Amino acid sequence: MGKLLSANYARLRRDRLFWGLVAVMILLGTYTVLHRWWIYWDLQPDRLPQARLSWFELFAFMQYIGPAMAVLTAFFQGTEYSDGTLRTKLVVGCTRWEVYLAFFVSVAGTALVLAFVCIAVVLFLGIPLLGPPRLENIPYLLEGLIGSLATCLAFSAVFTVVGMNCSGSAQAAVICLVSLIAAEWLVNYLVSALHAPAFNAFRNWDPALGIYTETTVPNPGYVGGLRRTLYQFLYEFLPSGQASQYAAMDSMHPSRMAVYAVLFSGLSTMAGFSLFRRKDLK
Amino acid sequence: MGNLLSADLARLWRCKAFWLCCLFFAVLSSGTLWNAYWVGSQTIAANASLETYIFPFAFLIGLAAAVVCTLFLGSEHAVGFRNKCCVGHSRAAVYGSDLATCSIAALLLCAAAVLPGGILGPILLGEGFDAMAVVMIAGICLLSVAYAAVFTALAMLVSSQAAAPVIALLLSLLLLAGGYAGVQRLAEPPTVPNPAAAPPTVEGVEPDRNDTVPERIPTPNYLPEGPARSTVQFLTDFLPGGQSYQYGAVSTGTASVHLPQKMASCAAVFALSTAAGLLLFRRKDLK
Repeated sequence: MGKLLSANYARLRRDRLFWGLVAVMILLGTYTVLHRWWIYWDLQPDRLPQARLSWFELFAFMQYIGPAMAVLTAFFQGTEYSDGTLRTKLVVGCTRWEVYLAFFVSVAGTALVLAFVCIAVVLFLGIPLLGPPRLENIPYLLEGLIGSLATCLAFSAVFTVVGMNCSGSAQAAVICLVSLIAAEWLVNYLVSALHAPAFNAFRNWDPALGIYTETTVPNPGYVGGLRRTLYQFLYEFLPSGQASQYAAMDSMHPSRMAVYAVLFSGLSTMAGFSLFRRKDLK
Repeated sequence: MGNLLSADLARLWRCKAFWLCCLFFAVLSSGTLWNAYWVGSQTIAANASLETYIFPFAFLIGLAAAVVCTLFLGSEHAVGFRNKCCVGHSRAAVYGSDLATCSIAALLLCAAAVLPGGILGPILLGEGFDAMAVVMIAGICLLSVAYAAVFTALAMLVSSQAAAPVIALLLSLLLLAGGYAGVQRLAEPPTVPNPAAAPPTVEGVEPDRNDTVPERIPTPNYLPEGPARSTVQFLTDFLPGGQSYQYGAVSTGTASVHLPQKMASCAAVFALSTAAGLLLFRRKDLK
């Protein structure tokens, strides 16, 4: 297991794509801080001294980690399947479970590295430019940080399922990216459905009485009952939903989402491994 | 060329990704129509025309073309190209037959989305496509062929199995996002009513609408007529992403504006990407 991991990480260290993604994360972190700073500078320069680094910037990496991991997994998987690397590993006596787990741990480790790079850049640039963040609700912040890292694990777990079970790297790349796009779309739909108000209010001028009367009409687009529970659950359970909540800091039940993320990782790893165990590796 | 084309079409016929995309588009169109029929009278969009329900597939045609073209051509890089060149076909003929196959695939994808509308529309909603919609469908078909040309060039040049679909998918997303940004920027109104200058509303008293001319303030994002606006307008109409967005969001009404220019831009994108692709493909080391 240790040897498998060190082999994977040695490959990753030489992978140009990995360093490219690190560079992209640095750029995105820089952009996030500079964009916010520029808004202050352009619109309210006098309020700049009171500006603080906010959680939005700190968790900005959550928007980018999904696509980055999808791309990385697809490429990482390609080298695993080409040249019979996977078969060689099995021939020298590693079990399939070790190979699967090593792949998952390498991908998850990469996700955490990319996340930390983005957080570090945001802190490094954000504190001098925007001022230190408010430190009044530390436990909540820590919960959010741990939860968002758990979401990174969930992304890695689900992409590992695709990567280990798909022999063609082109197919793996397409499946990872298309499922990510579909999940983003689903999450957008869930958000708009959950935010639909229960009632629509109309203000009408009543000339006879000389006052405004207000009528409320039930909104047909409102989602209630069991469907609402299901939507809310999906929004908190899917890694894309969690990512959008962390990036917007609008939920939030970080501890619940962390549990969901771990559950999601476990379930998808079990499903992925049971498929991989039976896979014909030729 | 005939042999090449029939071989490629036979391979397309067995391409699972192509059939999955066709199925997805057919289900999307019929599902949207069925939904419109089912909830029809309750929603405000009840009087929307048929194309409002069918055309949103134009948002996704770039992504679908990216998937189909790169997966279909990706397997060629292993041995296909070499064998074809070995038996004496010129590289231009190989490129041409692959381009033709991908274009046919893109057109079939459009047909998978539009035909359910043409068949189910008159039955469920009681209306078919009008003349303008037919012209716009021709525009979308051209657009999908332009996408196919771009992604064919990409898939012919990028030998890495994983890189081609990733680049193609990200490129089509980027084009779509750019198109969205362009359309939104062009749609900015020059001025909006000044919210600060609105007369204070007194509870229970109707505001006198006659004595106040609402003061309007300029919006910061409005692009005034000039080189900047015409550049954005040109790029939005020229690039496939902007066209995708305009056709997809057909109810906003910008899709039917500048239609001849849009069709000409599709032809230009097709010609440019094919010329570049062919030029580089002839020099490519196929190993």
